[in-house]
Amino acid sequence: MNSKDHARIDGIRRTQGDVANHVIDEFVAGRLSRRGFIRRGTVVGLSLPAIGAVIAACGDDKESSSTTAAAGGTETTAGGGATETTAAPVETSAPAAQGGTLRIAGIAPSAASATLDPVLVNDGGGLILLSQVGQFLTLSNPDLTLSPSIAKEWSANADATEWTFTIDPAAKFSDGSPVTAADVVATIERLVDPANNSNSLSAFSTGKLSPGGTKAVDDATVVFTLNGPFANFPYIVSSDNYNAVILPASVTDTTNFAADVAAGKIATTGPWTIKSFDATSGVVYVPNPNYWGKPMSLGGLEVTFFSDQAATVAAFQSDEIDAIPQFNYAGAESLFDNPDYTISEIPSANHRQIHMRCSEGPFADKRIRQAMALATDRKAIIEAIFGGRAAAAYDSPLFGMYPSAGNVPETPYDVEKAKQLVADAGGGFDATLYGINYFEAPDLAVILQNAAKEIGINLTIELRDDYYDKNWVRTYDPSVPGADIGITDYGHRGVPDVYLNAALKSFKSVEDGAGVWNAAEFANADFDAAVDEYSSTPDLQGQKAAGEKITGILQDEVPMLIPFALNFISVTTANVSGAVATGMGHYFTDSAVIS
Amino acid sequence: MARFVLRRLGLALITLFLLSVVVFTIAAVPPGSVGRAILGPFADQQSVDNLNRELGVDGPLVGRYIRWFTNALQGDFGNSYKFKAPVMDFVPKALWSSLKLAAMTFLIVVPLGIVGGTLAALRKGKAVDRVITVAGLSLAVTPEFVVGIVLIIVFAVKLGWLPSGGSAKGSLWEQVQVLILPALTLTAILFGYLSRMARAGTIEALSADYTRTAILKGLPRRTVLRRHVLRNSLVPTIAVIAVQVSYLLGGLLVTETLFNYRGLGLLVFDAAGDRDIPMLMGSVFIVGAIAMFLNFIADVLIAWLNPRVRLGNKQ
Repeated sequence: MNSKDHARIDGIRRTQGDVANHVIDEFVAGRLSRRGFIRRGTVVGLSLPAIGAVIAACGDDKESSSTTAAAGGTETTAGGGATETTAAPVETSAPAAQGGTLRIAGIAPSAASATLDPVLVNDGGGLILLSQVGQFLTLSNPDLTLSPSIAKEWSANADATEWTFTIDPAAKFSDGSPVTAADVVATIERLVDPANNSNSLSAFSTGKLSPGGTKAVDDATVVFTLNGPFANFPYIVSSDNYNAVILPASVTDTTNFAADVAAGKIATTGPWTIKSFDATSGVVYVPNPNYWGKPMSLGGLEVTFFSDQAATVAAFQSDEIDAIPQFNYAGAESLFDNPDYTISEIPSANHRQIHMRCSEGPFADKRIRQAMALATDRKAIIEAIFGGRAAAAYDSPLFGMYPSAGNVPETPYDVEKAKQLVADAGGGFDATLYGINYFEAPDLAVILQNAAKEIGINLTIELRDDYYDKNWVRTYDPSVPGADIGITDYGHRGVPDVYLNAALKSFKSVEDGAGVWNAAEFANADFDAAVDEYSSTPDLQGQKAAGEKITGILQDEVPMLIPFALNFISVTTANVSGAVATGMGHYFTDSAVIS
Repeated sequence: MARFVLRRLGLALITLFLLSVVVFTIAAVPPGSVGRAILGPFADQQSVDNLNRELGVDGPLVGRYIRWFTNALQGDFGNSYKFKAPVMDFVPKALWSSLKLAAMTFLIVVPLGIVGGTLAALRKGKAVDRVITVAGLSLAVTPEFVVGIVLIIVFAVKLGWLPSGGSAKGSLWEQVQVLILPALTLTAILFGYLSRMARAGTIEALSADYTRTAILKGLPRRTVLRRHVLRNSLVPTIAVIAVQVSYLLGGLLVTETLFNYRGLGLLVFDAAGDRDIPMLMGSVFIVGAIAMFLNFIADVLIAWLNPRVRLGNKQ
């Protein structure tokens, strides 16, 4: 770098806050890879031109300068032939037809999500429908970068306790009215108010935002004052927090959201608006006449609900739908061999936690928990259940996909050592393995049962529909039995803070939010301190250091097994391009093209 | 006959009452909390308790039953917890879908089963009989999803002649196209039962005295079959058909799921999964009531076809 480059970087630094400057300094000093710089830079509010300018000044031309090309996802066509990395719309050589209706498969929303109430939506079936009509302050991309959405820029104060977001002046609702700071304040305050039973309370609790913490400075500026430093706050108001769809301040009742949007009573900002909504069979969308984003190619979007993957795959293979936004490998193997289909795989943080109760019962001895970790053959599980389409994880939610994860040592598969640990702890025992009764949990339970049997622990499998009521956590209701060992599903998050804060930190109270999902009843002051350090450290190196402490404690104490993180798999017919799936389960169709 | 009909009607009403008790008891005492199922696992317990109170699912069971049954008799099954709309906004639509599928299935399977069974009986012990019996039995024991998947792969995926599923909407031809594969799947399941019943009934009727008398008095074979054999052999078949109607209306979970066909079976299944008790009770009660009504009709038909049934009680 010559003096001219230094001057260019200084020029950029002068326009940024302390947190953003720290990220720039780390990159300039070579402590941050280019990809890490792009990811981290978008989080702290560096604009894409600023990121590009810094990269150009540093003269690194080894990687593409496009932020979207930093995606971790792969797209495979022609029966597994060519593979390319995509986060942005795919270029196609075939001519794009203007108009056309994209037909995609959906899952009927759960009871909480049935009316698409943004406050209550709590499942993949609901969020994919909601994000067709709504938008967020920031957009979490498949590669974990953040893009501007309703907010065009954002920045933090020096200790990341106050975040300022500037609303894009072009942003407007479907009724033509502009999005203002008052709309953002009303939306976020509704979600952080415990009285509204918002599904995103845990996310905001992790983000250290309380009621009254969101203020409008002027029509275009919103300031979030947090209860403490939190470096990843922009993720908390991103599409990762799918409840945080920005609605007009005038909206006070969201309980019949879908019907009200269809009737034109509630205006939204997304590319589509609802033409008809049938919570049992599907949704028909038409373009938002006042959409403020890039012009869309599609003329319509239809989502048909399926209750069964076999039916979904059959409909796709029969050309009755054009895309399946998310499916499991098992049962859909035939899709991978067809050159007419484009498969997209995105590494995600979607995972299962097998908690082991640390406070009492047979797993209270950490040698037993360590033995379970050593007896778990992660690679075999991934091959058996997912056909290799998942990443091995080693009992820490700081997955390798997170730039802040630091080094996560692999836990070896060592049955002999595991047997020795069980013997040292007093020998084997009988226990009941509880868990969810869907996804791949039944297969996983059997594999775990066999692994445990090898080291003298006899697990009886009890996968239950009411697992979450009875055998998950005792934090909400101390009278429920909980479980000594249980399988819980966790969805993707762009940053691991929610997993650390809600599922692993010591439980204090439901209101506090920390540890509310701590099924293992793990309480470790060193761990809590490391998580606090991780959450409040604005620089990546500091986060990595804290992350390594966290992983070290988790691998020693093993409050839970985390054997894998799933790939998020979607498929389209070859004539469809540009639809973007994210690990969170969104399926953004505004750039989709039918050729 | 009138007395027979009245007696059967009385029995049907008593059964309906018992059904309501059973439905309520099963649906109202499910594992887990309704409030928790609606608000999701992450809602706090206070909110869950408040919602349970609001929905009236924490009161005494008897009082809740009386309130529900009284309203149900007036066609009011309450509001769906999930959809926050009256149950009767959903059940008739799903029932209509199921009726279409049932009608399509019966249009195929009833003539096929009766002709197949009769043919097998008339060719008893010969190749035709063996083929029909073995094929019927094999199809009956083959799981629905296997038959359905094979049909989908052949006719929807490979040949592209028919849709792999969906709802029966649009023009009559479009609806028929959607209905053919699920109806054929159900036909495969039901054909075995119906043809066996028809075969057994025909064999019995063929060896009956009245048939022998009819033949001996010189009636043409076709007349003997139509007037004497078929009329009597159909009695057990009609009973089987009546039972299968209720299965076709409310028990088609696998077929409806596989073909993504939104009928009552799927509605009941989803309601159970979502702890949507009003929806569950409403749809099961309606299916039960229809099944009872059809059984009643079947009893009357059987009595009309076979005087021994209606006179048997009198004697």
